[in-house]
Amino acid sequence: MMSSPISSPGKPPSPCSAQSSPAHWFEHEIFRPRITNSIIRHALLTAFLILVCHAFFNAALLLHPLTWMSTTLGGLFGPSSWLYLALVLGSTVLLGWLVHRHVSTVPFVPQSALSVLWGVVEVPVLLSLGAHLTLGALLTRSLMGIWGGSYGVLTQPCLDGSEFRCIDESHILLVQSGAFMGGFLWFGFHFRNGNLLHFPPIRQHGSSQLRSRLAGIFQASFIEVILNMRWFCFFYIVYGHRLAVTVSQLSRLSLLNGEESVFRYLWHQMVVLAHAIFLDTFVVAAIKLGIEIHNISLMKPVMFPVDPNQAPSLVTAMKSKNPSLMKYLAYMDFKNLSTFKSARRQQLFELSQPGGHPRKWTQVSQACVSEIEEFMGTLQNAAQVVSSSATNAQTKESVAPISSNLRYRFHGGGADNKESKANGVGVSSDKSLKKITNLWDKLVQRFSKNKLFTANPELSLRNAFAQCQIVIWAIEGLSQMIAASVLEDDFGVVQRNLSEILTLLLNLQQTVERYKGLSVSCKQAPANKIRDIQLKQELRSAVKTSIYRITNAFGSHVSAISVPAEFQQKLDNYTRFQE
Amino acid sequence: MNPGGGSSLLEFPLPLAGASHGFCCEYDATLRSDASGGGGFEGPPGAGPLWACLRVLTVSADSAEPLSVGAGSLNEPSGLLSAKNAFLPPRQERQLQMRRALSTWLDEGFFSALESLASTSEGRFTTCWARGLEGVARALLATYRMTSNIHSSFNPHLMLSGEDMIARFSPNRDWFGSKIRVMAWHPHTLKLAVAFKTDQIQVLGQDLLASPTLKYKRQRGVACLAWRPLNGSELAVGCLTGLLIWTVDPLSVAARPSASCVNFLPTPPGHAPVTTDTSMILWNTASETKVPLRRVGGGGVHSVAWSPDATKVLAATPSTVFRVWDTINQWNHERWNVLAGHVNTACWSPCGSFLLFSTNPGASHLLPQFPSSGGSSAAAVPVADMSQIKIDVNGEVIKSPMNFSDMFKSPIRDSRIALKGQIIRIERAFYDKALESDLSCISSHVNTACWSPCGSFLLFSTNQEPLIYCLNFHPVGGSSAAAVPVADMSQIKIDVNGEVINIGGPIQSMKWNSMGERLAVSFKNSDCIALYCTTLYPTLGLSPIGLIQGLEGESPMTMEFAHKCDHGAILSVAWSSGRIQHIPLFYVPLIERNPAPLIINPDFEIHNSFHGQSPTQLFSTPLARS
Repeated sequence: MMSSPISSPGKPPSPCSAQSSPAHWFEHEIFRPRITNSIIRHALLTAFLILVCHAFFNAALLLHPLTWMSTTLGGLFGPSSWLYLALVLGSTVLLGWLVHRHVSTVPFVPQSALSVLWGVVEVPVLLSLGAHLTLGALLTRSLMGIWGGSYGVLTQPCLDGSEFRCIDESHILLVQSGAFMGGFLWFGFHFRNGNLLHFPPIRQHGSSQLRSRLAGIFQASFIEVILNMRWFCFFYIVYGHRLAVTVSQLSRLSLLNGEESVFRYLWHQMVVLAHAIFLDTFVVAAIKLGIEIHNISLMKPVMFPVDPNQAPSLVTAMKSKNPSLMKYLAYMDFKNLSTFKSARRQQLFELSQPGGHPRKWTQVSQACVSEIEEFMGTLQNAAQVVSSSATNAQTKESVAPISSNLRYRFHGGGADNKESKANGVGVSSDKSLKKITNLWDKLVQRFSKNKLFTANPELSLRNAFAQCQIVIWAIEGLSQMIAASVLEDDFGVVQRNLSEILTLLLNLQQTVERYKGLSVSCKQAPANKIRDIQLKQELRSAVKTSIYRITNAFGSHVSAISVPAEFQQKLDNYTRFQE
Repeated sequence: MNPGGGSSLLEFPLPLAGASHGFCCEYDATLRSDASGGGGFEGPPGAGPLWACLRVLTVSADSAEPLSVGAGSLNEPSGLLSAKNAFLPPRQERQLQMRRALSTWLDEGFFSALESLASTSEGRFTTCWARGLEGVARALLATYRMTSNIHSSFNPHLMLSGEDMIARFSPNRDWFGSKIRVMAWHPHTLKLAVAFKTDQIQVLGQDLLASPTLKYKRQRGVACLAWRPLNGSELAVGCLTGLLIWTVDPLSVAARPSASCVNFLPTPPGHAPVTTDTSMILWNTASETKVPLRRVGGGGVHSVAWSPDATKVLAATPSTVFRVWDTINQWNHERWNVLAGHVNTACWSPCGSFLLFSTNPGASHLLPQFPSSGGSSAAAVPVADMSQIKIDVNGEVIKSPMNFSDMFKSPIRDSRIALKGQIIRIERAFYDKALESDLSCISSHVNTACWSPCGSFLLFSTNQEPLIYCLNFHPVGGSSAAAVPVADMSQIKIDVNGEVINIGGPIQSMKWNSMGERLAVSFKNSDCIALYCTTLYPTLGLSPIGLIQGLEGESPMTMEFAHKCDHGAILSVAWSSGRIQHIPLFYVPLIERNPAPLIINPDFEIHNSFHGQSPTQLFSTPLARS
């Protein structure tokens, strides 16, 4: 279902011209076609789901199958539904635009509540909020239009049989609830890693992935809607009714009168609430489904040519900084080729002609090494931030009471006392100044300790670990290549920098273990909040496995590889499976 | 081995006369015993350290007994006794009912909580409120049971309790009664994990500073064990409650690792120990994320086996269906059916091109080869005349006149019929009523399976036939048309020094060593282990070496091959007495006889560096790990 004619994993991508940059090629040959493809699939799937629901609503006609089918199809494809279907299509395009603009490869780790608030007021994020609100309202209104029902139109006859029409407040409430859920989705999209490309641990067909997640998406949507409905009820009681009044004033139509008896009124509200829950579940599920389709499509592997002479080569993509997705897909391709494709591995082990230099392996391995070194640098910088903040905190704790006491003594004792005695007027002003200073000190201290405004220094380490997906693929790819080189590397190209890579892996393991922090179990929090912790654990496991893979492949010959003396003992442990 | 006819147990030499001394080894392709208990046997040059190591690895269930909860715990089914029975209930009935239901819900799930609610309001203090709650719970339970009964009528194994289900599908011959339930060798070093009936696991090894005993409150009813490949410390434990990942530090001196060394991976309801829905879950143990692989049909998965090159996974179901997943090509799967009995036991060849499996009545067959990961279905290659195949039907040996090439024309492409099923069909046509009575109540499944080191072969057996079947995934000329029976394990009676003993019958377990040169087969109703010498190239061949017996009155419960041995292989057998016997098999491996790498699969070559990669039930080999 998710196959793409341009970037199927089995086919190399079409070469880009000499003028176009790899980023330009990626944008036009991979990214945009995949987005377009996903929009079409999402629109078709949404239309199908609407049709299924529509058929379900008319299930009472099942005893008359022909009537049932004609009613179902007529309701969906009748002239009155065209506009709404067009709106649904428009909403899928809008969602595609959102994904195109905001898709992310690195998990978001909120530094503090203030940083989240600061992120909210950025213009693209505000635009995204508007788009999400529109999306939710648009889809809800379209569904109401297609499925009809008592709340399908804005106006209703004021009385039974009356020619005068009034505004139906329930209709506005339902549309508002859709927009409200869109707002919640916006928050999850930007601040709970809703826009994150979560690369799956195994390669499956896109349709299989989507099929396996379909039921989960609807279930999660239902629970989310149920939980958020309480906030919507609160919101509607405070602000929502004003919108209905405003619409009524603008249209110069009066609001529909409520039910006469309390029981009928409550029953009416319950029915509206049930409608809202059903519609919102569908809307939320449809949006999540769309994001899932886009993600699956964007994460499909791309097979980059190993030959550096071809324009979008593997090395070029691995070294590119922008777009980040191309870099991710290149590293994923490197890991896949090193694991499963012996023919492509052989290409990497080849020597250049003429010249006989191992350019391909050198370039690829250097790209991986520089990526690993860069990550280690990021990690060490983050660790420095943590240690410096810890030192500052200790200093504050040890110095602050003394300084305040000193200040108190300074203000309260000795010369001050003499001055106050000499000048009776200055005593009260000094005391008030002292109080203000103390109050200011306390305020600063309190706000500096408040999580709302202060970034937790540990989070900088989490932020660093959040970027390690590429490093995981790099070390897995390198270790697989090195293990395969025992039999496949006819020219011994891997031997040239084997010592360097092995030392780097040992160093990386030491660095990661030093800064891993408190080991947090991954199942203690929802997956979208702890993706960085999952990546950290995957990295720890991958480094260890990679070193074992190399030592296991080379066996006793590992002792002939020169590594610094500090790592020699560790390498011996790996050889004896003692780590 | 005759490719068409296969080998039968009649070709085996008589069991060892000196086996009663508890010492046995293979040397010069024959099984030997030593009356002095092995003390006078040297083996090949340089085998001295191996003997020392095997002495360290010796353990029996009796030695683990002092660590158990009590002397009687070995005889008590685990999980039946609960500490909460020792406490008095709270006075208020309402509190009692809700608290008990809540704690049951948290511990055992929603339906257990309903059962608790339905059974709590007994006695004269029953209030109206409690009776109402009980009624609702009973109504819900009745609805659930009615639907589950309908579901269970299609999958009878769902009627079984958790422990019964483990006992039914475990490779252990008597899972309930056996003092040693499961064993697992480390894929790279001489380190052995042994799970006892007391639910504790002991880790033994030459390089370990201590022999840690692993015990955890959720570790109940251990069904399978697996060491993580390319890792020195991680051990996966599949048990009644779910999946546990132990981290056993080799340099630790702790005799009882704490609970911080274990990570419990919560499995969804109906996934322990045998899945009761149709999905198989793939765990990334580092990030604790899972991917369910769901397919309709089969009624669950009771056993999985990775091929050594990690390109394929066998998933056997309690019904006649079993699947072979292709890990390279987007985890597509091939669906297979066996008609007579479920696949009892199976194993892959070292190259991954062949899958051997066994079923019940006696015959021996070889199937054409079929492609591995390419997806293109090459034409089936006829390799033998059916007239060579002997089928034992109700004691009558029938020679089929059909040709193999006719048999492989399976009318169902998506649901291929294994050879035995086709034989039965053909036999029906020719021998009509003779077999119909036998086929009327067929309900079978794959029982045990093992991959070849290269991942080209998978051996498996079903629970109803004494046959070892082979599936061939050889990339050159392989065919996915049908599975071939390669060995006949029909029960025979032989006279050993005046004593008549039974050999053969339905297969309990089947193990293939990591280099694919030795195959051990144990039986449900026989106390012998059949040891074969296997060759993978140019064709799969099985040559009988001998029959292994334990001490008097002992029967083999479970067995494992050590994955790393410099002098050949080590077969470890857990006997019913609780004794673990390590049987060294001294031979010169093929890789040493022929230094040129044996290329069987383009993506895989058997060589020393892959020596340690072995099929495991829980962990994949690292090639497939992301």
